[in-house]
Amino acid sequence: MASEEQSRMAQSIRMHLAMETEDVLGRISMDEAPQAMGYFYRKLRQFFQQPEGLGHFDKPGIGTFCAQVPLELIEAAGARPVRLCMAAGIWDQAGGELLPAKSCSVVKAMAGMAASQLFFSGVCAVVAPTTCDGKKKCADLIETMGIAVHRLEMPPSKLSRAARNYWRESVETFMAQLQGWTKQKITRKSLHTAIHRRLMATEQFRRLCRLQTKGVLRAVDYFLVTQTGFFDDVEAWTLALSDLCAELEARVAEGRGIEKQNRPRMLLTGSPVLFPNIKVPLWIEQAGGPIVTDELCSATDMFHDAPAYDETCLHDMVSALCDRYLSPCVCACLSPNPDRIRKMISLCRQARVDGVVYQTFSGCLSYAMERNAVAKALADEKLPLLYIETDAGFEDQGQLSTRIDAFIESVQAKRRNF
Amino acid sequence: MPYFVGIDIGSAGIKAAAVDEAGNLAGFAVCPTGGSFAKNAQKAFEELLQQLCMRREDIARVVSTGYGRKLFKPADEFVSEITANARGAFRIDAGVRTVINVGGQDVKVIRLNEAGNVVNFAMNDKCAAGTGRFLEMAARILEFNVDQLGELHAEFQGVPPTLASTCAVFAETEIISLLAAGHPKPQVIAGVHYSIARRMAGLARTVGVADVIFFDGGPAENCGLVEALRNTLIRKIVVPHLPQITTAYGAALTARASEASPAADVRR
Amino acid sequence: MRKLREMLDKADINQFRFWTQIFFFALFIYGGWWALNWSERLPVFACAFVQDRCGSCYLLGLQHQMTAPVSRMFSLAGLGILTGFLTFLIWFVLLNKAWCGYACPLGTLQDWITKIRSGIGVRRSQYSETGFKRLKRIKYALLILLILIPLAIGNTIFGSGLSHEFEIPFCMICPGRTVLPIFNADFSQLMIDFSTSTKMILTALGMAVTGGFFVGAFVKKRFFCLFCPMSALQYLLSRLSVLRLVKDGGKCTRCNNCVQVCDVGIRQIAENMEKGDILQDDCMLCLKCVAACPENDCLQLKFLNIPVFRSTDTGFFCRMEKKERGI
Repeated sequence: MASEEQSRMAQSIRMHLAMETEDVLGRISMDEAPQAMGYFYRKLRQFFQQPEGLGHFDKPGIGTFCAQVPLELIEAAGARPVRLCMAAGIWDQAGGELLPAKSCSVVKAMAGMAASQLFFSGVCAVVAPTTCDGKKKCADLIETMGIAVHRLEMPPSKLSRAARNYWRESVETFMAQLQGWTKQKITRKSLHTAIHRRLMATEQFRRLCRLQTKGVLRAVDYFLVTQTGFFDDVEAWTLALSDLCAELEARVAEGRGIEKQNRPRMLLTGSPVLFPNIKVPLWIEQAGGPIVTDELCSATDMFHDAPAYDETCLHDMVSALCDRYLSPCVCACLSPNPDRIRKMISLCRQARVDGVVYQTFSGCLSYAMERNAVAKALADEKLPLLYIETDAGFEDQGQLSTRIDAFIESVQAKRRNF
Repeated sequence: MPYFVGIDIGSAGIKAAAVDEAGNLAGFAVCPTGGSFAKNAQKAFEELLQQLCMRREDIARVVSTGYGRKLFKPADEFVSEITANARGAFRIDAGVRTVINVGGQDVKVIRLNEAGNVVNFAMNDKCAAGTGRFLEMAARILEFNVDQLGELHAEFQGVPPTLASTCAVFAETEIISLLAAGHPKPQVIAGVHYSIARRMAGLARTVGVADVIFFDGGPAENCGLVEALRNTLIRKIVVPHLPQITTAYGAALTARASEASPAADVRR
Repeated sequence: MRKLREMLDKADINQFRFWTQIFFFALFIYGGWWALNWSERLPVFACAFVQDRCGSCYLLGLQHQMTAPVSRMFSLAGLGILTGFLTFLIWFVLLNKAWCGYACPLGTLQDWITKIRSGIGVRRSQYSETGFKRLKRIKYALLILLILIPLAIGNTIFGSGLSHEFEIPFCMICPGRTVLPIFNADFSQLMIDFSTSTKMILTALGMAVTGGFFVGAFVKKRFFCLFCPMSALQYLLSRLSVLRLVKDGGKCTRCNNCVQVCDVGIRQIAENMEKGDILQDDCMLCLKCVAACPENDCLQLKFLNIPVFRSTDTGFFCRMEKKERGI
């Protein structure tokens, strides 16, 4: 029986996933973890190990790909968004049977996740922006598994008038589809509330980023916070985030933890850091280089921007959301993509970065291809760059941690000589 | 007189080196890594102590490096093998700007500046293609010892055959098919060396190659490989007196330097 | 000092503008009651047809002065034109285009009409991007015409001089002339003058523009300003002003918030990353863009190079929270 086989596979993947998340969380030392981080560890454990136990499952879940889906619309329609970009090794492996071995591990992991049906019990449909080829084909694959997929058509560029009009129409189609799914109308009021909730979340996230540049929060913790934001209820997340910020601010006031400020300050960019694959930030941090800022669609690029509108009418709010999710987007799938380098340099200046670590998943061609342009721009800024190509698993620890260690040592040596 | 020790725990061998206050090499010990890092590292360390006629307490500082650096508990601090290698090479020859190191499971190319600091480096990814492991594999298939490869290389004449892959796993089938095609063994060995050299040269170009190349790591003792690299990069290749222990030496120098300014880089 | 800075950063610019506009409106419409008279050369539509005004629009004077023969202009009488222009320039240099956004009574009137529209829940209409680019040129044409037509009166260009009825061609079609006196309970301008055919045509045109003004201002924000020749003249001189709108492209994330809140829909402010001086010809320095920008110091209003109002992260969220409470 195919379905029995399927459920056996799902059960096995589930067990391995629980093992994997436990292994990863176990690698994070709890000694200097802020108390308020407990919420995030708990949520992640719950989500990856007993997803049924999460509190807000009363609302229908809408799975999303990438960072270009206007989440406010989903919330305004009475659903809860769950960003499905997660890169567990076990999913990667399961997805490897469905997609070519050379495709990137995020895409494979998402296919594997769909095959194991773990999160799809609570998720009634999936929204996939047409970003890179991998994600597009992954959406096609998921659709064949009997999951409702809406393709949020994204223009290949964001600068032209045609692109803006196309995107606007695409978002409006998406709205109609959403309301069809949830049978709930997006009203002026519900959208305004949803936007406001996300605004509050953004405000707290920015507060965390400011603390991050002071080096008081470990990079792994920072990425666990953003990862929790993928599926958690916004209001609960915002609250927990504000508690965390308050605790960290108290630490700063006491002068605790900020000695890391004088370590080589790193910026992480490239393919996203997606739980449970947090090895690169883990090793960077262990090598003694705090990640003070990042340009990743799983962190800053997802939570940093906030929409604004003058008149509180539905049309203008949707218009603001359209711009919020397309215009500041610096995903490497866009062509041209001048803003990514500009943003990175601006972040480097603001956070006084000493070196940049550029990670790509093997198979994530768009990011790999942008590497040289980024390297050149950073060289002009006299910033060293470490390029890492990696996958979801921990098997390349030896090679990678040596490279990361050596990179941070060389940045340190350079700083000392100045 | 205080001594400083560096221990390089590599994937193939563990190398321990001691330097005196002036930074001169005082002694060294080498033993294979085997299955247990910590135990064999301890063994190499003790061997070195014996050689110096000293006890652990007499050693001012120990720095570990290499693949297993974090597993060696007696170390006061650890440093990545790239930094250690650069330091050792720069101390041996201050004119060094490019270092190529071939280890048991990796190939590294390091660029230095005038101050001896690492400015850039390249390293192979996960797989062990073109590394010491590949040489060992080739030697085993050809039924020689790794040390003999250099001499045998000298015997070859004409044009060596090309090996398409430097993969340690594929090597077997490829070498066997070359032998089956009637290539004499020295020819095949030369082919192996040239294919490694090509790979090293490719890696070296990504970080930039200086006029003189400092070539170290165990396989640098293999004069056939040195010749292949020289002919591939068309540059002068300098091989130090003891190529295998350059990294351990660099780690020992790091120990000496941190002792001089303890606040500088303590990571424990 | 830091307190003041913080207060300015968090300032609710819309509220500030609302009250400033009321102040200037009262001044330009009823200022005469207090026997105020500022100047006849104001860079704003303080319409001379309003009886109780406290100053008047420079365009009226400019048109009058242009009716003189060219030979006279280069004599001592030219000095009058020059001083007139200089007076205008001094006024203008102080506030730049903020005259439009904060002082112009015709602009204020349009903002009030907008308030009524959004109050009853009708959404605004916007130009297409190409349409906007095409239409914005009209104001320069009007500016050239309002100088050339009076010139043709005192100088024989078409064989004989033009009739004196064309003395103030722009004022004849300007909605300021017809609408603003209403606030003085003066409806005399709201009519078509049938005395001569020229007057009939001009006043009829004026009435048509007035009708268009109300309809346009209801559906679009600042409808008339897109065609305003005063705006064109100001933009030509805006480089000389001590008040500047400055953008630091390095800090911009292209989030487009500035365009979203812009009443006129200026795209340049979001799209231009190189130009420091970001002021555009349709801009009225209402500063909504600065208030809506969440990046620290990305947009700044500078007076004599001192930042007066700047975009800040905290200010942005503070204002957005206020907006939430407001609904």
